[in-house]
Amino acid sequence: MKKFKDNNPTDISAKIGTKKLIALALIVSTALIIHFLEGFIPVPAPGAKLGLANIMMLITLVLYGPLEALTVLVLRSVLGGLLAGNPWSILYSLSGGFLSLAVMTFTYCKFKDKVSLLGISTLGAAFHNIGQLMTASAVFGTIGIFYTYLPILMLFSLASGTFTGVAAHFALKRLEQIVTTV
Amino acid sequence: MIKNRVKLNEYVKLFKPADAIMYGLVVLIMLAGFLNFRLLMGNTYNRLAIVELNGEVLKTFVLEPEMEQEEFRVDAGEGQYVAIALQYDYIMVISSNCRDQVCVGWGRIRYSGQAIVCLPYRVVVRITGRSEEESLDDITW
Repeated sequence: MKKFKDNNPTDISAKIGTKKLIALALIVSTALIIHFLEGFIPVPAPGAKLGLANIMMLITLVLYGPLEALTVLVLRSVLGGLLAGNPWSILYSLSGGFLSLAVMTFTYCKFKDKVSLLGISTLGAAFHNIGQLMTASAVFGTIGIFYTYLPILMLFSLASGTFTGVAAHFALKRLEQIVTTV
Repeated sequence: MIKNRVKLNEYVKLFKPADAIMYGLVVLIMLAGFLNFRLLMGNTYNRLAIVELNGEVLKTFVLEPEMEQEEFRVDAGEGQYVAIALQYDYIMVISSNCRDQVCVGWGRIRYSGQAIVCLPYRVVVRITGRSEEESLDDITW
């Protein structure tokens, strides 16, 4: 059979690469599951979560780059909010996640050699919470929300960031081989 | 026996010295927020507690050190409620049937600028300066 050479690929897998497409889809799915499961863990602050989905953001960032990580973030936020039935969480996830991703990207690109994933993910978790707090303050119109919940959330993010960093580090160790080989 | 179990050493080895800067930054933010609030903003005189639902003010209470105990119930529609109580110097959420229970677990607030939020029901209980009573567009601490 003659093989066609398609000079105008409209199929998205031709533009991105099938393997990468599948990998990103799996990452988004995993992030959604993590997001769903961590909702059952009680947290002493409104709308704030443990931020375990940061593991997936970190993995995407290291394996593929900031643009792919942003895609994962948007997909995860929108799908997570729609599936969980709470449209407000889309806003909180996006704002917190965007700020956290920006900080993590900057830290990772500039200081990759000097810091391990632990520090990056702690910073990411902290700024994720800061972003969510700022959004909550804006939505409710009182800055008091921000200052009331900030200290304890920062304390929390120290612990959760450490855990996330460790998890991402060991996950990446295994994943790096899978992604680079065809 | 767990095979391939990671020893504690390997976890600790993940740390690099520059990580301390990251952690320190988070601690710094925590302290900055805390101190900024306590030193500059939060106070216990001239306080007004405002209860809002969906951004609309439902009720305001004047907080004084020796005020009577009072209870107030916010009906958020469809059987959803947030029960608020005032005692001594504090205002707190005593019960609610929201799925979070963050509002109940938060405990009492006392200083102006503090707030308790029930996200699912969009209820805010906040303390602010007394002059907000006259002009709701200003925020005074």
